[in-house]
Amino acid sequence: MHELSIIQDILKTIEQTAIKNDLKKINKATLEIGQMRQCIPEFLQFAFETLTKDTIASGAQLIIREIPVKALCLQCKKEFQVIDDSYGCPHCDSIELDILSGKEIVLSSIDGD
Amino acid sequence: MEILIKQDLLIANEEKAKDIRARLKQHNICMLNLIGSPGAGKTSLLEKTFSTLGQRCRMAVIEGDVETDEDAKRLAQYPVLIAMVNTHGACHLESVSVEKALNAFDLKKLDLIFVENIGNLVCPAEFDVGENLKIAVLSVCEGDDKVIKYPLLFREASIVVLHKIDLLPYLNFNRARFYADLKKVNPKAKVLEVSCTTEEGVDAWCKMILSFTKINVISIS
Repeated sequence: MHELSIIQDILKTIEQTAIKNDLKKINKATLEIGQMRQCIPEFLQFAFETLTKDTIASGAQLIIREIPVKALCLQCKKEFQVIDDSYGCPHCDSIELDILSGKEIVLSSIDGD
Repeated sequence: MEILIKQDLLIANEEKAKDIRARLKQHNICMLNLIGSPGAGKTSLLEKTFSTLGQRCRMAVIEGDVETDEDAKRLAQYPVLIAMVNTHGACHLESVSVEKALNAFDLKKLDLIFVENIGNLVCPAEFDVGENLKIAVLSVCEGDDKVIKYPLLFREASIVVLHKIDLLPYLNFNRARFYADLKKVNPKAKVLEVSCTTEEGVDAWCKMILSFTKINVISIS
């Protein structure tokens, strides 16, 4: 259940941001989660609903954007999407890669009054 | 009103992990982060390592444990320093707790530090604790599908110990499947097959560990 601790951290950031910006109510939070993180969106939603009860974000909507795993092949310099956890370049079979995206756990924005 | 935040929740942990790595490098210490399920044999592997190498290199271990000190008690008989970290329910170690544990050691007197992470294949893989390398310990009893079920750990690990191989005759663990999945997820991972019961592979493991004491300069991406 690492979804729970992720939401705990997010809630902390939401509360700090709300204080800084003098928000009284949060309507929406947008979260970017890389697919390498193995988070289950339903679990994130459930944790968010549970943990935000009686907080400034109570009843807020959680938008989850899943970020695909993308890599750059260091040999042929082509970018590609990693599918089915297969970390080899589909163009030249090289295994020398830079991972460009897919590890994010980013609170990208909140919306409130 | 919409407020852009763009805050990476792991950034604080990663910054601290970088500090730890720099601090260890100053002391020429290599730190290895052992990750595996409960019962994979992480502590047994450490027992073998300490009994074989205890006189040859200066080692310490940071023992992550949810509540107890059972593992630390098992390791107390060996000539190594031990720092306990109880996470009180948390399923992984973070760099802040490892940093505190490091303060218990005199770093000038160490060559190698092991971190025995909490038994779990998911969360410990997410948190950099300042190690030079992650080592995944997978016992054959857990099944041959674990690499593909927990790809982040096996992607992040530089070394995979396939453990308890003495039990292979009694299980339907498909070694070919394990190797094929690992080749897909992490073709660069080095695999060591080890049994602490028959001692098969223990020599190769210890040799590899000794080689790490000379290379604190291992860079990780």
